[in-house]
Amino acid sequence: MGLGLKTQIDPQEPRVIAAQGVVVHGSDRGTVRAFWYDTLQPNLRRIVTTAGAIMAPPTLGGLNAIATQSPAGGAMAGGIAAVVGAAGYGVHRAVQSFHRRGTELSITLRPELFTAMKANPAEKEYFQAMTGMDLDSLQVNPTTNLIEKIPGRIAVETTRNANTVRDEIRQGITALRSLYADIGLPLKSLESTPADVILRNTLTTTGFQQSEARWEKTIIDQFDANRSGVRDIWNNTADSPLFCVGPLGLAMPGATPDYDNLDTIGNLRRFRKAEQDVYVKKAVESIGVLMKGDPSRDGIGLESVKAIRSSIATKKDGQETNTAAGNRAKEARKKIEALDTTKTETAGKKTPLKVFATTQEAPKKIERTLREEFKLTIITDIPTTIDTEITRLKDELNTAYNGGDSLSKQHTEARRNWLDVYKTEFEDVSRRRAAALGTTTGSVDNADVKAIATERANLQHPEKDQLSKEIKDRDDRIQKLTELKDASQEAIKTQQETESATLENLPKELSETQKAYDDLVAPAGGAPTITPAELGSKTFDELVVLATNPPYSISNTTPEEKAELRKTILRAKSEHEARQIEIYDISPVVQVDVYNQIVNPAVGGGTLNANDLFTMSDAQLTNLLHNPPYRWSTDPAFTTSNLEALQHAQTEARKKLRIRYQTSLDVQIKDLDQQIEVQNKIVKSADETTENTKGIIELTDRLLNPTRQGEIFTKAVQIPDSIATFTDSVDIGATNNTYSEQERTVNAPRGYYETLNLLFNYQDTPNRGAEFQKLHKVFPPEQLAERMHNAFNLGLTAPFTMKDALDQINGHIAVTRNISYPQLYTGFRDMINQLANEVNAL
Amino acid sequence: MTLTTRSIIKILPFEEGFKTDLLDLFEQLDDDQKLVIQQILWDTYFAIYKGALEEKTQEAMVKAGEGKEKLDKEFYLRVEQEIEKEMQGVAVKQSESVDLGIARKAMELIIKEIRASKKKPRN
Repeated sequence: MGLGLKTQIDPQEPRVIAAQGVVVHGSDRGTVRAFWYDTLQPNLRRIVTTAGAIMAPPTLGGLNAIATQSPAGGAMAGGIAAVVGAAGYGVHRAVQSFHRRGTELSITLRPELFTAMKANPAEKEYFQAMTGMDLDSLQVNPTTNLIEKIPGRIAVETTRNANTVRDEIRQGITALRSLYADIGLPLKSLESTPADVILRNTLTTTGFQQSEARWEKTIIDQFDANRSGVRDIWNNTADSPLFCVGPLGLAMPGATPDYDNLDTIGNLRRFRKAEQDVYVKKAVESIGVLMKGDPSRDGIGLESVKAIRSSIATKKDGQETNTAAGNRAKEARKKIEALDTTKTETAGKKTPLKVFATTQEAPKKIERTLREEFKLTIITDIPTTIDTEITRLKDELNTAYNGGDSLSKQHTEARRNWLDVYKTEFEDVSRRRAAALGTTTGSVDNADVKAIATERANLQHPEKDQLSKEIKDRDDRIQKLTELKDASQEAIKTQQETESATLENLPKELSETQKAYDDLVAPAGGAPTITPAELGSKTFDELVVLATNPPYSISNTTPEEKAELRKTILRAKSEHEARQIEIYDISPVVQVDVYNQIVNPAVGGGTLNANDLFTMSDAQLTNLLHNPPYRWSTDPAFTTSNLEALQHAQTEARKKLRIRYQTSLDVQIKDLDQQIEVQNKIVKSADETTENTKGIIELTDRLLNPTRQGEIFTKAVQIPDSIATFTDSVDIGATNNTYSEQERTVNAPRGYYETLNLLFNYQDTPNRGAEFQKLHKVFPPEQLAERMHNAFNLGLTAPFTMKDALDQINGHIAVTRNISYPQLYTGFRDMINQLANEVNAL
Repeated sequence: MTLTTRSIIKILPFEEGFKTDLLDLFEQLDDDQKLVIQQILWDTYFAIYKGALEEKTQEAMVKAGEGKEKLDKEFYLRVEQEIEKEMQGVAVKQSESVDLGIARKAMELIIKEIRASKKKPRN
């Protein structure tokens, strides 16, 4: 309650004078309302005896004594009674002030009451003690009859110590609170007014919920005009000279009024009746308009209810698109479709590159064979390398070998020598064999003799076979090299035919990828925070974070800036990938050398780049190469070699551009994949939300059925009759067969099921278990507890359970009586209306 | 008496004609109209209820000050019970008057029809 925890009215707080009273600012609505109700409109009018006297806290036995205790000054009671009597409008006017302004206390004083209080020292002091206002600084303007500050007069707000005033107020309030508790008054419910029941309804119309000032005026007018306003016990009205003086005919006009003669109870009843008249009249007007279906009048927001219910019905029917989540999913799916299209187009651009790549297989295989089998290094190109090798081999065969005669010549010599030996041995072996056999040499088995002669010739001249082998080896190599050359030329032809398709689409942005790469890994602004390796390993989003901070500080705010940064990062990534590929995709040495000579300033090049080599004609390039810094010879003898060199450089340029084009497409596709993944996550999350919200939409729609709602309200106010059941916080038990299996599985406090049943009447449905599951999914115990906590203002501290909520409700109904019939109705009403607003906002 | 929307219509101090019309026509209204009107009715009922409770409490406090009422633990409970009875009494009284009104109206219609049938020429 805040009682005693802070000053109800801080005497040092600012005060202003309103037209008909004073406005005092308090610290919060509840405490200011409580202050007015407790202190300035005391139910026990003699609770403050004299101004400044501290009242002892009452005991039960002493309550009546306090109630009958006479004040030190009769006028004090009368003065307070005067406040109470007028009160009818004083209280409610002040109370109504709270609703919108919250922490103001507007104390309305009728001029005649003000005059009476000002004339009475005790009243004046009491008023000043309570509010700190000096009534002597105010007067009633004789023309306007309004209370105003006396011009030029400085208000002596209080001569009393502020802390003393504060303490007295606090003690007075404490005493009253203690009293109220002793007599069973629900302290919490004191903080709200009858009009709050209407004013706090968030679903019904603003037209019905008049502004606070209009309520006050309407009620006061009703009270004065139709209920005769304030009267005394002789039925004199406040404007009568006999008011509180005496009955007509017996009293002397002009005599001092005794406010003990106020018809307090009558005034209270009349005021209440006036208030009731206003509520009823307004209800009739609103209902009449609603029945006639005229929504234009007075902002009776039938439209707002129609809009909410229509919105809910629309969401129920087309949840995929009619909720925020549904729209998010729809947007994300659209983006995915667009990204997929871009991805397909991008992937399509790789086809010529893929085809070209397949044409490189054959030359690569040939290269490998030349390297591994023939131990050859490709200096210029494969055919040239092969030709050179064949020439060498042929030279060895036919010209010279190891500084001596050619292999052929050596072999011829060796063969001659071998033959000589063979011949000699053959004759010798034949003769000996014939002699051994006793025949002529012509009849000896030559095969045997040949074998022996061969063996002996081989022993003497082994070089013949060695040389034969050498010659055969070279012949085989020449044969194979010739085949490889043919295959190479065929592959080159195929490459050239497919290359044109790739060349068509080259973005010609080698310099742009190079620049983007250099900007990130070697920025001008300071030491880089992105390494080449990180260009490959970090995600796009991670690189954005780095790029938007020092030393780069690239702006990433507008859509254009975002698009530009994206391009930069993707190009840099592409350059990094390309360089990785080039580590393993080795070009012929002469190709690389000539290319570097032309483009790399460090080795004498610099004014031409790869794009130039690709786009300029041979003539343009040759002309430039004849000039500084290249100064290629213009001697016609070098024309052919220059052209060959240029062609090598151009080949290298095309290769570099092609690799970068490939990597840029790969990087783009990967980036598109990541963007698609992000959108897919949005879709998944949105779909999950939609799935979850389906339930709440459907159930809220049910609650907004007027028949269902009427039944809920009827049952709500019957809760006190079955409070033990409704607020039973003991779990039902897993084996309690009075509940369905689905209900038993949850095993929540009994009150949980009772509340759900009150709202949805599910226990009487044929599919009780399935129905319960649906309800439980949307309103699990903790969530329902939270809704009840908010609707009934239970005052629990999170985290709390359903059991806590039920116990608290039980306490408020059975013990403190803070929740009674009105609160039971408004609690369920507010729970339903809150759901309607939440679902409407989905 | 069980508190329902219809019983509230009967209880609230509306003009008889308005009350009868509302009772007759309520079910024929569309759901949006019924929803709003229903909450207005219940709001008004409980605003009046709470006001009556406050008034009774204040009255009882004043009487306690005059020694005519006992301030004990059951004080507020007695006030509440008195209000319950009063509202119930009003409910019954209002309900009776309204029910009669409906019955009377129905009776009037029947009588009108009977008279109309008597006036028809007989063949």
